[in-house]
Amino acid sequence: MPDEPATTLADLRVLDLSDGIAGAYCARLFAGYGADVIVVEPPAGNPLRGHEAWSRLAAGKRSITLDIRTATGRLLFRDMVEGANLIVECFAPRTLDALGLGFAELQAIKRRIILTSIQGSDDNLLAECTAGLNAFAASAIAAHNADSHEIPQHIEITARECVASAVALGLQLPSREATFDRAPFQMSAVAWTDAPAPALGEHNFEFLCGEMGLPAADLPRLRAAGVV
Amino acid sequence: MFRLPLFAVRVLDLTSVRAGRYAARLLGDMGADVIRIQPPGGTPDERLDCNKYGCTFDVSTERGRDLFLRLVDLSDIVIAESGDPAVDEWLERNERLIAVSLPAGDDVTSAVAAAAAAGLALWDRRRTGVGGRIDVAPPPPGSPWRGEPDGATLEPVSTRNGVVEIARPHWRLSESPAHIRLPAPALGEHNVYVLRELLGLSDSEIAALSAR
Repeated sequence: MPDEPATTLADLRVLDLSDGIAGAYCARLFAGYGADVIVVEPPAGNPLRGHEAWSRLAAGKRSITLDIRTATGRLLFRDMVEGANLIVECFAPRTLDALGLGFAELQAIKRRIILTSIQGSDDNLLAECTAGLNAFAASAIAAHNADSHEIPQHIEITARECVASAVALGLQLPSREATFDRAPFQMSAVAWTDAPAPALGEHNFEFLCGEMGLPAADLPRLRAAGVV
Repeated sequence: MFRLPLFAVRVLDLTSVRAGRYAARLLGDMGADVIRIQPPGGTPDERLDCNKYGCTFDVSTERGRDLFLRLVDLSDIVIAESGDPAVDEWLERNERLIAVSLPAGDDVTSAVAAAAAAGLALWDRRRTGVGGRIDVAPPPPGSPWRGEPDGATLEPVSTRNGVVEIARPHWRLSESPAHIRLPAPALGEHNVYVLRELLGLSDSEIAALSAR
């Protein structure tokens, strides 16, 4: 590369609710290009923390713990949505709707929000990675547009359709799973960064108190109540 | 009408490899105005080239190169193949341009990565006013995965309210159903649109070009 790019996408904030590889990979790609990715983990930790690739899937993200299944957790999450551009999730269908955090509700909180919902493939890592990369592309295009023209979008992606569509078009599927720490492309204007994976809840104080304005005294109480 | 995420974004598709053509189509599916430029001859592919305008001229000739540079001045994104030495010249002429280079091949990962790169670069450009150069990494070596056998169906479409919807898109957007606005262009079908409407060539100049 002739010139080392200096800028990042730090003004793009992603809330990563993913408990599956496809979503975590999509959010990891945003983090790689310097977006502000906050992985929102249940207080017991993201189920992916047990995965061998976790340190690479979470690289460059900030971690907060928040149980969005509690009423207080949802209240805090709604505040976070206001400051976000994009939410990535790969829960079972309609999980967010059941929590009162479906696309319509999110859009009522923030008009320009993009919600990316991925149905992965439990038994096929290549399909997960393909879906994650597709989610990244669709989210990047939609996020650009949401911010410029206020068009919110609910993006839905399934690993199965990504694979079927590529096969139907006569395109080759990937030869192996993404390495998670490899940049799929180099940009002259935006740097790819590699930062360590966060410890569980490492950024609770920094983010919830420092940036969201939660009184510092509330944090231990929320922790005791199992909300964070 | 749909609200298309890449409305009013102009893309030039200069590739011949399947991955590049599909990258350009993904942007076309999202509403971009994609102009596919190819030398006279060759056949358009129904699936890889839909949602594009088609224009035939040979960019390896002096006249073709001049026309292409004038299109670069009017465009947001160029999709080209890796190693095209003209990229720097395009970026010098138009600093808002986003020049995406793909490795040769027909790997779906390259195509989707190129579309992602274009989206990120558009985000970045709103703030900086400057596009830049993007190089898509070649896929790691290994024997390609062939996918599920039941996935190897043709891409079916269905027509609803006069709109041709793609049944199995890579992604579904709530406000912008994947659809085919333009069938794959016949060879040179939009020469007049590109050469006269966009570049302002006269009818006699266009006739002189087609005569070659």
